[in-house]
Amino acid sequence: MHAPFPCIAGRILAAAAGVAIGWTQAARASEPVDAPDGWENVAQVQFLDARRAFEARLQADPADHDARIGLAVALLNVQPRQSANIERALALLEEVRSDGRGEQVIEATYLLARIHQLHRDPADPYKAVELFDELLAAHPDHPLAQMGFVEAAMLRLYVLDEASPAATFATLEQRAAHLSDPTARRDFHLTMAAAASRLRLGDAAALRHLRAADAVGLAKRNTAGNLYIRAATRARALGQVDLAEAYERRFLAEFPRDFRAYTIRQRLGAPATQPAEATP
Amino acid sequence: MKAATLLNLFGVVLTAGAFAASIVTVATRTAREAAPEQITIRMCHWQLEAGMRDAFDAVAKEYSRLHPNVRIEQIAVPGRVYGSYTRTRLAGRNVPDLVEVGDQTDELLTRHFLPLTRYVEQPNPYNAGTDLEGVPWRDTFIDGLGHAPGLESLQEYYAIPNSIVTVRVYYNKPLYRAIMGHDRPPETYEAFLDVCRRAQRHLGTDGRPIQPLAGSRFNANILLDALFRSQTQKLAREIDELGQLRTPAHPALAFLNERVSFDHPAIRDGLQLMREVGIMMPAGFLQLDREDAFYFAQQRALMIVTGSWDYRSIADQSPFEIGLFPIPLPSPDDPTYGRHVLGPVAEGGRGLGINFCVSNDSKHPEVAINFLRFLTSRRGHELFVGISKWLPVVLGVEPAEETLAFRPIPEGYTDGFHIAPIMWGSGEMYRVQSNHLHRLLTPDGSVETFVSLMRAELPAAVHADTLRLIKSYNENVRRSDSTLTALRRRDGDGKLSAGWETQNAQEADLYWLRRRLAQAGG
Repeated sequence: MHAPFPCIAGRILAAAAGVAIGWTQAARASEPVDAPDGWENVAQVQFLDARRAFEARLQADPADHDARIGLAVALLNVQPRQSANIERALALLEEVRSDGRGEQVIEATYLLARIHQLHRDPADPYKAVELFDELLAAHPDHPLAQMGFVEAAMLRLYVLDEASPAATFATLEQRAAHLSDPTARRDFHLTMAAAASRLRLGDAAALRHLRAADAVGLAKRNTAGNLYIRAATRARALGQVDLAEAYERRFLAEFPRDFRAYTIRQRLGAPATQPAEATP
Repeated sequence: MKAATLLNLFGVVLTAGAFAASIVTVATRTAREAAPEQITIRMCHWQLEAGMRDAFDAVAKEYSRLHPNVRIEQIAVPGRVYGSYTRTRLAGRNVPDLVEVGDQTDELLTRHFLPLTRYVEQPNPYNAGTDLEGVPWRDTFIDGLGHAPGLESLQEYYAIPNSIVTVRVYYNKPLYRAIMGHDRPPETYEAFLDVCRRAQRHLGTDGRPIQPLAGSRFNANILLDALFRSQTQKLAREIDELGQLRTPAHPALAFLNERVSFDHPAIRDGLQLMREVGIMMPAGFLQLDREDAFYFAQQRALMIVTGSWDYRSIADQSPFEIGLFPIPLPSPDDPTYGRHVLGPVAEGGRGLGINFCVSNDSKHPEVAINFLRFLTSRRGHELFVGISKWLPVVLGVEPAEETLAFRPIPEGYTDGFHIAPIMWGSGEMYRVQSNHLHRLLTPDGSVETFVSLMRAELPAAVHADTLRLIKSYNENVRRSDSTLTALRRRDGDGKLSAGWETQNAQEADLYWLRRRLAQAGG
């Protein structure tokens, strides 16, 4: 004989669950529907929502190349990652390149190069560099083309092995003379400074590029703090004590509570509790 | 038979009663929320330590006194189920207004929580009348929110912290006096080891030997890890290729360097230190969980190493006077272990804890943010710290008298690196170390045995963990391609430039890591 408890309790449970689900659905239905711009979704890393928004825009206006670019960048990051999405993004950007004009073509070319560089599996760094070079040749003053030069520089330094690291480094320094966009110039110098240290191309080269990046101006506090210490370390290694101390004082003035301040104070021989003043 | 029927009936009545009670509770809550003037803000967290819920309650009560239409409810969830609790609630878009976050992905932050940047750049109105009046909320925290979750990669503030934690050795003062003849804590590693050895020879009131150190895997994760890291301080500096005085972000990056191997004296000495102190801990401690370490409160152990978060719980459970001192790591003068040491380690600037985010789905985000402002105002934080006895993070708020010993040590060098954490780690290096740790930390083990096992398995683990890192960097950089394209369309606040700076730095790291892995034979 079965006890009545499970059966009755089950019915009560089911009834309660039904009421709860009904309540929840009613509440959801009464909520306002959010209809954000596709680009805002991309900025907020909401790629699935962005994809829907751009698909809708393209359906409404098939000539909307901005939506085509938006859909492509959303597809690059919709999870789970699928090669079909990457290939579709590539095709969308090729459409913009062949049919669009001005800024849109520049952007599509840059993104195509990035797909070959990073998103496609396997990546094709040679194709990426070819597209970056093509973009720079066509639009030497455009910020995105100049940023493409920085991306290509990374590939040349770390991936392609076209020449010895020292020769590649020297060539890149020569070619970078044209960089006019501050962001691209800053990131080029930061890239070169890191490569000089990692590829053992000398403290002087690293310091030169760190100072150049500093002169352009850094966007992030953390980068600035790291740069001051890196420049001071390289300057000390080269015997440029005055320069090293200037960077160390700047660090202490701007980052007195950083966990590395104690070490810097030790280097400077500064009092332990009072940050030293920075030199102008 | 009759008894069985009655029992069944009783069960039915009990079930029906429970459902009736829950319906009344839900209906009451719904009615309360339906009242237009009444606002309920819910906050979920995993801080079940003694005093913490009381502290949140006290601040909430004070806030409600200022804002009678607002009620703050806390939902305290045990740490071991907190992850699944929040994941379920987030997926169902039924999340409390305020959510404590720990390690979280950028995607989770952006998908489920509000960016707080525009708020933290404004002064906290609850600081009016103090020296923090007019100061941006961000700059009222001891680290200027420089380590806020998501800040580095997303360029947005998503969380507001409420405490900082430090680690100390807790000791039973009366027992210590009985063993040592005084209650001055040891100041050197040698003196600490001497205390441990003398405790081993001391018999408790029940005639059983005293355990020098209480604890579990959880406590070993703090103590033994710190000891090992002390030995890699100089080595970390040697392999700091960019010269920025930072410890490698992941141990795989250290072990990828040709200078780091099990033949290096610093690694050997680190393991020797772990063994020397590990055998002072209770037999089988690696199998014990955090909650299993009662030896200290039962006066069967002289010391326990844990953090400021446990102070209230341990003080409440221990019927004796407790003393506190920093872990006496080997100093540069130590005759055996000093050669690899730079000096004391700075405890500040590593990021703050108890971080709360505001849910995207909050019906009253402005009220939730306003409560966070009050919670971290000078006044609210003093109240919170006074009751919780946790360390303050707001400038000008002093720790509670009895927790002054936990005040972060601001002056010191950067820490060394480890092979893997002893608890709460992930990845292959962690798995391999966990598999063999007992060969190092039990009396019948040895450094040599452990090294021979690790030497065979660690290279593959380093390779696997480096591949994981590469994958993670790759994901970040790929994601930035999309977000930067969006930012190009609306920039004006410098985010685009900062975004490029982040992406390019990460991308250079990515290519360098791939190159290093290939050079290492990967």
